[in-house]
Amino acid sequence: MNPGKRRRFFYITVAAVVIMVVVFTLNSYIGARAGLRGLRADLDGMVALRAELQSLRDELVGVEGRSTVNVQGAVQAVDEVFMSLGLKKKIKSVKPAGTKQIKGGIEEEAEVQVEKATMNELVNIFYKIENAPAILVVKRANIKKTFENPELFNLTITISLIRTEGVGGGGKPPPPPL
Amino acid sequence: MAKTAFFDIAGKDGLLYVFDKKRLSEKTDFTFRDFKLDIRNMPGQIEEAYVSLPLGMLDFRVLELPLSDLKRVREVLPFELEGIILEGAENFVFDACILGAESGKNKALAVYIKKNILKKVLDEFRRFKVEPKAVCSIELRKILSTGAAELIINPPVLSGDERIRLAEQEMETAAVNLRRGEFAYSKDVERAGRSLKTGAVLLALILAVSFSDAVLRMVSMKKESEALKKQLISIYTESFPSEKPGEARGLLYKMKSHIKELEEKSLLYAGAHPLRVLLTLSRGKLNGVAFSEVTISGDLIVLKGEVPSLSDVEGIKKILEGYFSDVGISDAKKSASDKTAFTITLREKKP
Repeated sequence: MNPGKRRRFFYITVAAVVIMVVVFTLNSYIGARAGLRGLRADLDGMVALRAELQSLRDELVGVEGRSTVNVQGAVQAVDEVFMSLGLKKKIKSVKPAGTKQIKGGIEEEAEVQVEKATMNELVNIFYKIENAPAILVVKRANIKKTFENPELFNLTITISLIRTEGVGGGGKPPPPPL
Repeated sequence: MAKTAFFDIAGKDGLLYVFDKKRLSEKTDFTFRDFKLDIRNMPGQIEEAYVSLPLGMLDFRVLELPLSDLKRVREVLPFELEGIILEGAENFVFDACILGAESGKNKALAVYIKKNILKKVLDEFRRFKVEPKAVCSIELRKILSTGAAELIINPPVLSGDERIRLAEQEMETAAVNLRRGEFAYSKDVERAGRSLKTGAVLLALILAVSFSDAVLRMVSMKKESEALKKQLISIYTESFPSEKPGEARGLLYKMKSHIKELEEKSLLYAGAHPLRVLLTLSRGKLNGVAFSEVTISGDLIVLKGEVPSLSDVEGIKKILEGYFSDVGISDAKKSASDKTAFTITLREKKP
């Protein structure tokens, strides 16, 4: 190869190497910048979600850990709540309102009618339901003043007993009452 | 101001014409004896220089060739003159000009000079830092303009003004230029080459600086990335201590997935919160309001009651708006006891 050709070949090789290095560096730089942007966005997202996560956990903290192992059904659960308060005689009726399969468990509803309860008794009933050992959820509550005595109230509540898979109680609904 | 110099060698003497913007600005005489240039004041800032040699320093041959292209003629000259020049064509520098056509054949005038003579001429001018762009002959130009090549043997005498005029024409386009082959003028090419080299060096410097900057930034970005990854893993581990975090980039997705699971669970237990509603209502300090019925279904609340007047209903609404959302009066009418019975709907605010 003559010197002229050799020199040209050398220059072409140097130019090619420089171009490759530039392209590679640019590529790496763009990749690193995109990666960093992604991580920053992820961090902002996680910080925002942390608050939401905590809020959800707070909501569920009273519920998870409760168990329906010793409860036959919604009616029995309601019975136990009122019995513990000594208010069984105030119950006008307890009607099972059906069982349905829900995502992650079984929901058993019951409608309870309570007559002539004081505000204090109502508060105790609601408190007991919220803190019952079983997972009881108030679906609907209607509080009405009695006609005879405005200090007393009639209460109609629809309560659900939730049996979840994995959170006590197993997946089988209880047998119907005899 | 850059000037053009034309060295008109006429035998042992000569005249230097200095042109400034194509106008003759200076005339200086010089001697050129035994290839030694002797000039009193060589002008400075010469951008371009030309040298005209006398006919006596050149050799000539008229050739008949089947070619009319000057470039092709120049190529074949050494071969055509090989047998004619005693000292060998390789010792000479050639140029040609087309004289014309006769009987279907083209006549060309070959002009040549010995390489060592041309070298001596060029070296002498280089001593004065002058690099002639062309080595031509104004006397030859005059002869060629008459069309009588035989005048080479007995050339006409040229006046001073005519010489200057011919010099100007030669500077435009030389009739013959003996700076060919190894003696070709390369200053322009060298200048371009130097500019290219300077450009290449500057470009290399810019690339080097940019490359260093990019590398430094990448190092800094990498450090920041590592710190961010650690933070991500720390937040995740804090939130889910029993779980192995894995790759930092996937943690946000994992967290969203956990939140979705919790939201689904939360929906399972979604219901009314009568205690919370009663507590919030009690905070409202709704004096003079007698609620007759409260219905709570999920987060929707319906309040029924009585107030002394319609404006009191608005008052209640305003108070309730501080504690609940979507507060609306769905009904307000005169009751049997001459008061205003109302129905207000509202929703619990999300905690």
